[in-house]
Amino acid sequence: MNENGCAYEEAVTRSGGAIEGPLAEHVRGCQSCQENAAVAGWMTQLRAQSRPRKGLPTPEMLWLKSRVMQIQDAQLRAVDTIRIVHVIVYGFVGLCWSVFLTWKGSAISQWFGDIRSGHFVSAITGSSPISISFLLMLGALICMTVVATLPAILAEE
Amino acid sequence: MRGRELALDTAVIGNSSETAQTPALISEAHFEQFYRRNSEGLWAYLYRMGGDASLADDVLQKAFYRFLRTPLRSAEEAQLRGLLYKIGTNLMHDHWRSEKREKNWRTAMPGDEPSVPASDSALRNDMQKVFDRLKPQERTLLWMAHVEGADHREVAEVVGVKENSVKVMLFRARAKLGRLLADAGLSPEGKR
Repeated sequence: MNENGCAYEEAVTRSGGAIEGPLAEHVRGCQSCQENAAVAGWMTQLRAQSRPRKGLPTPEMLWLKSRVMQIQDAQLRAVDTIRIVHVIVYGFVGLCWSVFLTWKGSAISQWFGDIRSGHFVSAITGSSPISISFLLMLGALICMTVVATLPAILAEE
Repeated sequence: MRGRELALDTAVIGNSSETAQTPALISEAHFEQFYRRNSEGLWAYLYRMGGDASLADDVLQKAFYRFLRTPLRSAEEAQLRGLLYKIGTNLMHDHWRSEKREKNWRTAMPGDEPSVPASDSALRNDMQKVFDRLKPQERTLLWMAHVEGADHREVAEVVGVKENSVKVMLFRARAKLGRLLADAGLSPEGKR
C-alpha cells in the first residue's frame, strides 16, 4: 500500500465516517480510503463519548484569573529585583567592614586594650592611635549597616 | 494592565518557535468567543490523551492561562487553535514527565506504591484502552486530523514536525489504529 495515500484522503478524513455521494463510490473501490473511513468513524465515536461531566470554567473567570496571575508575576519579578539589590548592599557593607577591620585592626585592638586597662582618658583625648577619621569611618559603617538591615528587620516585625 | 486587554508580552512556552517578535493583544470579547468555540474540543482531546477527566480539567485551565500569556503571531482562528493544542500537548508531556519522575522516586521507597483511584479505572473503557495503546504523537495526529479537521500544516505545528512528514505519519498512525481496532474486534472488519 502506498504511504502517500489517496487523493481523497483529506476528504475522507474530514467526513467523520459519514461518507455519501461520489466519495462513497470511490471509497468502495479504494482500500486505503476504506481503512481511513473506518478510523474516521471510530474517532468520531470517540469524540462523541468525550463530553465533560461537569461544566467547564467560564471564560470570564479564566480571563480574570489570568489578569491576577500576571499582576502576581509582576510583583514577584519586582521582589526578585529588590532581593538582588539587598544581596549586593549586604555584600558591599560586609566588604567595607572587612577592609576597615583589616586596615585598622592593630589600632582597634590597642584601643580596646587601653579601655580595658582603664586609660579611658587617653583613649578619648587622642593620645591613643585612634583618630577622628577612624571614628568617622566607624560611625559611617554603623550607619550603613543599620540602613541596610533596617528594611529586613522592619519586614520581619 | 490596559483597559480590557491583556498585554501578551511574556513567552512562557519552552519551544522558541512559538514565540513571536511582536507581542499581540487579544481582547476579552475575542477571547470569550475563542474559548466558547474551542474549550470543549480541547477538553475532549486532553481527556483522551490522558484518560483522566480531572487531569483534563487542570490542563485545560493551564493551557488557556498560557495561551493568554503567549505572544500571538496572527489572529487567524486555525493558528490560534493550533497554538492552543500545542500548549495543551506540551502540558500533557510535562505532566507525564513529572509523573514518571514521581513514580521512579516512589518505587525507590518500599511500601509507598501509588494507588490508582477506582473512578479512573472505570473511565478507561474499551475505546480508551485502544487509544492508549497508540503513542502520544499518534494520538495527537489522529485527533487533530479526524476530530478537529486540521490540515497538514496545522497538524505539523501542533505535533512539532515538518508538514511533509505529516501525511506519512498520519498514514502509519491510522494503519496502527486500524490494526488495534481489528485486534480488539472494534472495527467493521473485526466484527465480521
